[in-house]
Amino acid sequence: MVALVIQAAAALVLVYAGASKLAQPEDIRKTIGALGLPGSPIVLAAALGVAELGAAALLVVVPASPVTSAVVLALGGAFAVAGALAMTRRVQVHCACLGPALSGRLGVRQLLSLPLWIAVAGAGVVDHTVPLAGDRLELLVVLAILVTLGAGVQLTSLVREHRTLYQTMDGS
Amino acid sequence: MLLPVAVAVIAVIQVICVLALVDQYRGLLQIREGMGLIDTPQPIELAALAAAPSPSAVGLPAHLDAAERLVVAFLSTKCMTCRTIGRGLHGRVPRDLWVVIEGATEEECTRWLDDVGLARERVMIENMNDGVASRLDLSVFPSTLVFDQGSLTAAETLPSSRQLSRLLSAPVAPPLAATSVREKEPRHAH
Repeated sequence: MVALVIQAAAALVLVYAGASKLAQPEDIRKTIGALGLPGSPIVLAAALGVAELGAAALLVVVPASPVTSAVVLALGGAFAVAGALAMTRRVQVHCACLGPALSGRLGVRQLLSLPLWIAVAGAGVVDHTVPLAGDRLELLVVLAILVTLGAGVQLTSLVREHRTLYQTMDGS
Repeated sequence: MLLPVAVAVIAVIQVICVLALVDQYRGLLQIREGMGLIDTPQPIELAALAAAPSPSAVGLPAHLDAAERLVVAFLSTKCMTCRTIGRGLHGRVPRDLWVVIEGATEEECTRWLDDVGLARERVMIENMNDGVASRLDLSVFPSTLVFDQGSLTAAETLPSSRQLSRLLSAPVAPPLAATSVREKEPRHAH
């Protein structure tokens, strides 16, 4: 059960992070560009978003698979390397980890998060039981709905602000 | 098997779409801020602010001097934003608010009040050429004067109803220090 909670929580974060990177790619493109990574920031940003969504899907659908653990570890490792690069090259840039609204400086935080990634990857290896085995895709849909609800809360206040300002400008 | 997979894929795609919508609205807000099209009130410099007069000293009813906090909103019958703010009061002027309607004639002001559906309680009608606003050289509409503990403490534009709500819920401020140049040209805030 603990493993399920860890995996579901990690999948929730990854769905949000991956979807944010695909929906609002400017910040992650800037981060990748600032790090001087080889390749097009546009392609790398999209690939990262897809990889995070893929990792979320794997964590929910096949949590005990070694492929899932490998993908999660690879993601965590990549973020830790990015943090280390930012620190050694003295690049001051936002990580754009969870979209523009929830972003911090890229650096030591990514290194400190590596044990969490290892714990998530290890949860499936340590605990081979798969609770709710027949409902795993439904669980993924539930996580997507939860992320949508969270985004909906942000959207409500933004739309209200937009309408107020529009009416003020329109004088109506 | 295909259907659950399709549903899961569609669910993830709609998350991306909703987040993209959030991004678009954020972008709109940034554009408005860049163009100065937001409803931040602007201070109005009035010579009267230096003296920090009481409401009765500027020509408002004497019983308003006792109010802990009083917001006086000046609305013009010629101004669309004023009409919006009037309608935003939903028929009744709140306790800490006093509304002054500026118009060419009393009939025009009365018609305006009927149009926006505002009750006459805590409302004053005045001639735009010979009222509180003109004596104060206040020629921006909509605008507000704020009296705290019986003294004038602020004068600012009133771009929207929600800025009025903010003023009404703000804490009481201490009396003001001196100010400088007064308004010259008549203008509307919006």
